[in-house]
Amino acid sequence: MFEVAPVSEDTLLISFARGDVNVVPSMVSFIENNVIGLLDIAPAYSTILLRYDILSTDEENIVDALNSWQYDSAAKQQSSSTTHQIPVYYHEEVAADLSAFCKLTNMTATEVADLHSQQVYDVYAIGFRPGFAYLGYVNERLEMPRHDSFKSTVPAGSVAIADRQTAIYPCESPGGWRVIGRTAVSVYQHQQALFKVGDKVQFVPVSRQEYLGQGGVLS
Amino acid sequence: MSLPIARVVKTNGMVTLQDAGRQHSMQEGVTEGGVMDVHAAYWANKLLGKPKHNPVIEITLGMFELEMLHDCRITLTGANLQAKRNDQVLPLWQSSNCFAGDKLVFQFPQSGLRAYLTFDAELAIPQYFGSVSTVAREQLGGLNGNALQVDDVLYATEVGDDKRTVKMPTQFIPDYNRAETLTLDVLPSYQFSQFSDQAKATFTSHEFQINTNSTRMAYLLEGEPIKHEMTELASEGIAYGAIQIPPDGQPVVLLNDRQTMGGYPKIGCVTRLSGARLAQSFAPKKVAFRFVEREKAVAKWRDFNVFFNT
Repeated sequence: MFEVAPVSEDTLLISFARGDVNVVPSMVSFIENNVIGLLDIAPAYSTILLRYDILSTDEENIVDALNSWQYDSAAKQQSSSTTHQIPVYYHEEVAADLSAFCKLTNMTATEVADLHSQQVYDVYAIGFRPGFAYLGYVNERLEMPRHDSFKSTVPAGSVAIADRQTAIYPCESPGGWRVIGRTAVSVYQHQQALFKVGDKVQFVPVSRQEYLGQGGVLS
Repeated sequence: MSLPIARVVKTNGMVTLQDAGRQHSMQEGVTEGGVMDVHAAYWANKLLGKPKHNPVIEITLGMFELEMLHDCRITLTGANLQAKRNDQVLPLWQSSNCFAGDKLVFQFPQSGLRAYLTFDAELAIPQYFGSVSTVAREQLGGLNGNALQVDDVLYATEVGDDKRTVKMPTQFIPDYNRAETLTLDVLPSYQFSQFSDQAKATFTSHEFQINTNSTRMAYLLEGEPIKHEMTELASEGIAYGAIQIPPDGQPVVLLNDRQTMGGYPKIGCVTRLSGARLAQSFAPKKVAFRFVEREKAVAKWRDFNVFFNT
């Protein structure tokens, strides 16, 4: 069901064959309750990075502990998840990559917006930076590799795609994803993230006027 | 009780408060942070009998001045920033007794890049995820979520009264300028097996130059492109030292202030101690990579931690 591989002196990567959305959260809560010497974990779509205290445990102990995890696919996540509606202005004046994206996918901006907003996404992980939620998965027609290298500034609120993933940039930062729109909603404020793992997110296309009315900026 | 210890007189925007970094923060997307050179910083604390997690000032690239507001013993380790106390040389790799009114001045590095200054005092600095480490881009840590600013004052709840001079045994003093090319130990991991033999050979047989845009987050390297065709990769957690190879083939070594997740292919991780040495280097220094056995690297890192745990 999963493999464990060391990545550095004190860090392991647990990889799952793609399963349902609850597999990783189930393992995360198991690790938090059962792994001694845990320093940090970073859950993602189908992997968990685990850093441990090299003075109180080792790889063998951790792998032993992980092997006693049992996944009950019938046990649903107990937390009632929230569904967030996020208004997005899909337009090249706020989305530097939208024109190129349309060309590469052979779609119009409206088609991209419709396809991107027609489904409800799961929050698989929070990472990269505070408040950055990894959402999945996009329609396969929207799948697009990252840029060849990091762009130095991606504006706050940018809605972007990388491969099968989509996300909102919580604040201005460097980034390598393809930006297709922007939201006026702030997804990270006062050290509080709007989304948490297990939540659901749906994008709602809005007009320029609505976007500006919601406090959106064009620069 | 709150005692003013020191005031920042001049700074370059890259001088920050750090410690051994955060734990249990990655799930919130919050980076590890912490001192870039664990060797020099942990020694700074050890000389004063402080634990490795004790807050230190990481002085990057000099152009920094501090006025002492209280008599206090300090230690200085790491880069040679031509440090002076008033007009006297402030010696490296040992403790010094400073007095209220003293001016500590740090200039452009003669060797290394980052010096560490520790006070024999219990500094009062707010903690976030159990750490004072500053990550300016997230407005986290430090005094106000920022690098030290002019007129910032460090306060302490307690100041030590031991005045003995403590020196680091000379055999432990590193020579940051020694090699023209810095060789970094790498543990093959992540997508290593998906790189072609040719890509791996390019990686280990060429030198790469440190780019001027290198930061506490990442060291950007330039050289012969390491070619690969990997594109579809779900984002995953990023360990300290991870070496990303984006499609342009130029390696990026992710260090303390790295993003917690990323999706570019990674060929392995620079070891913690190699990363510490890399952090003392800057453009246009050259680096090379060599793969090392994991067992040896683990033993080395464990021994290092045992040494500084006592």
